[in-house]
Amino acid sequence: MKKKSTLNLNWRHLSFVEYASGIEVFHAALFFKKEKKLQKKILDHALDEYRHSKYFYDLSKKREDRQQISTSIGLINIGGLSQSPFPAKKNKIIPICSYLYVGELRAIEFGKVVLLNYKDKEIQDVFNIIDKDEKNHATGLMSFLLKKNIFLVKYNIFINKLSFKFSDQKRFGLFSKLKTNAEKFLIKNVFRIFPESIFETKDNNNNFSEAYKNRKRLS
Amino acid sequence: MNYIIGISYGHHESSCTLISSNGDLVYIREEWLSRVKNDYRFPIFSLNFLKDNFLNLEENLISICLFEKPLKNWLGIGLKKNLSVLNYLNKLRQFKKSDIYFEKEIKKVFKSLPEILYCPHHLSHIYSSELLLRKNEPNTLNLVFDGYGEGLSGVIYKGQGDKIRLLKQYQTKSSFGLLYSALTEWIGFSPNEDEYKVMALAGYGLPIYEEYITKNIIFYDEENLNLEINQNFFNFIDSGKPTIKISFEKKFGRLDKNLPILEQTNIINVITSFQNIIENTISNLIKKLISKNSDSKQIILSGGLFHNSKLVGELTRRIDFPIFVSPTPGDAGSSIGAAYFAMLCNKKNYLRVGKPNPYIGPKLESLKNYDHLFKQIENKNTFSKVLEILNDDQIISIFSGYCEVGPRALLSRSLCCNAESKKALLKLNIIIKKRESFRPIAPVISTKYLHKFFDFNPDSIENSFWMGQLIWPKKTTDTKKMPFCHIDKSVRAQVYDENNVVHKQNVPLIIQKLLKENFILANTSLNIAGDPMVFFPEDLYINCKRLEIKYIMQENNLFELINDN
Repeated sequence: MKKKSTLNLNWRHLSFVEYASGIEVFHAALFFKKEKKLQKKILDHALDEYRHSKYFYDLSKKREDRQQISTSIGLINIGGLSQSPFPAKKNKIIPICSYLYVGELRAIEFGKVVLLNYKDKEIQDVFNIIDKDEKNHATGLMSFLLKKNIFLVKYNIFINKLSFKFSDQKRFGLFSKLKTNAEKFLIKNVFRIFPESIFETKDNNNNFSEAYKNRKRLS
Repeated sequence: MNYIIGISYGHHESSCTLISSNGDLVYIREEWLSRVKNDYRFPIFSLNFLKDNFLNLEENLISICLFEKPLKNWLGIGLKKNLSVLNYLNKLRQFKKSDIYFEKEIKKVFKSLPEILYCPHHLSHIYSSELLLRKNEPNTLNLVFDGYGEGLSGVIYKGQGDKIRLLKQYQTKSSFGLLYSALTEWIGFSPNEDEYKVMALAGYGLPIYEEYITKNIIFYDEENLNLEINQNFFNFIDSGKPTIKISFEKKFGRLDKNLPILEQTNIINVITSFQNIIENTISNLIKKLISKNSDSKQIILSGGLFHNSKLVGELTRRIDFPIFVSPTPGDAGSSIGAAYFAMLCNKKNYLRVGKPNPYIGPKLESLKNYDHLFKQIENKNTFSKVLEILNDDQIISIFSGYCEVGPRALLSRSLCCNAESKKALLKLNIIIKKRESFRPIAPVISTKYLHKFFDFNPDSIENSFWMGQLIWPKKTTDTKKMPFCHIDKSVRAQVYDENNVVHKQNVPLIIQKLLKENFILANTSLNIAGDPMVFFPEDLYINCKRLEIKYIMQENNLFELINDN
């Protein structure tokens, strides 16, 4: 289990993560328009995620300086919300539910680490509520998945665990640090040796006929 | 059937517009589908939505047009040798995410590539307004002011369609858009997102710094229509450094994060002073422009700066001339202009002449198919039931007809209450929407009510059909009975005209009847503050649950949220 020193919680960031989960679950619900009962359950799951986001947002307001992060940048870069969150197209129920299930497992694991390291009552209360919700979601999703082809389910769970791990590495791991350093090196030593005139573009939009003549040009 | 698509993305608020040879004009904002406010990514959800809803779109697509020249925009600012390493690092990262890869992104959605076109950024703004406003006048003056695009912050063009020509352009260092964003950031809000809050705050202060700003910060040369913002106070060029410079904070101070904003008089006075200067400068610039172009009969305003309805309201009341602003003047509306440009390039004219129509989004789905989420209330007299709900100071949501094109809810996706009840307004603004107390709620009023109680420029009243401008009550009007007035007595009203065919077709009949009887509705967008407006019935369910809204109106039917808890 991770020790407190390695766990640096940022409530605003957690709020974005939960909100991004809410959006992902909402998008999952759109795949189940014909299965009304199931759709409603998934929508209620999304509502729980939005509620969790609110808990963290409130904690952030009380305990952190207000951070000026735009919603879209927060949800995409911090919340990790990808543009097509599901490794599946329409009507692929197993990949979608497996993806959500693995997300719940990760949230439960994270909650355990926090509960072990943070003894503050308010934080403990919040994580206890969230833990209960996430376990409910995970149980519900698993009992639904157990009715399906178990080999496909296991395969999809495995793939999703792997892909989450890879995306974590990509975002926070050594690769990301190396990339930033390489970019800095490039700018300091290569980029700035070009004469400024290389970057100048011709003004060619003075009227429609010029814009028409250059309609296929990127500059 | 042939189709043309315009796309805008890459900065903020991406969108798609489709024009068909049948005369369809359909606009979709990516955030409605992705559920990410101000989503700037390639509009993949919107394009897939169009593919699903327009038969054989791919086979009959003749052109796709981007709203800007991507390489020119990327090179636009910030490539000088004296800029910071962080600025270049940002540039490098922007390159990888920018719309330079437009063609590659298109290939993800369409197997066969149609003709790919690129419309200059500011022309997209102008064409978007021209198409939406449908005011054909060959000598139209087009004024565009935004943050920046392709290295410029503003342009003035004369003419329309393929007879348009450039009169003047403004560099980034004279960007009023970036100035407003910088002020937004300075007072602790998110730049490029919360500018409307700054505008609302400007009503609370006194313009005590006007003289200082005119002498030291904003310079306007009336003869040549030149503008300049002193870069000793701001930084608009280097993205690796703060936008507000130390000299600005030395003069005007800093926000105290522990004090409510309304208690920080000096900060608000600074905001008010800048708002006033911007109004005065643009107003003087337009007056001069009109005097230099006596053959012009109208001015059309575009660009993100003209989202500022206080600015537009001041311009239309000070200048006795037809001044119009589009329902969506910012980058989000530029996909409309890009589609129009592609149509001009193809020498086609698919669009019939018509009235300005802000309802060009997709038609909202019927709630009758969602009986697991909403229950229809069977009532012989729905009108009296709606009236009863409103008179009881309850909130009613409207989810009906075609989506509004701009950022303002226009009774298609709205939350409404009785605007003459302080209790209902407080409930809607603070308790339900959780908005800052300094932000007023907009009312919907009929033209009869407008003529009776308000002063306005009759040439430009159409701007109020989509809440594009503020209006002010007549001196004789008793504003005590108007709790929807802002602190400076201004009102950002949506005006309903019972003779306007677009209003007749799009506003639910029950609401039309209420407005004809001079009932004043408060109207705000159907979403949780900071979220995109609802689009799917599933969204509606989520939002009503989170906002604790019970009643929903669609066409002339009333629904109730199913609540099993």
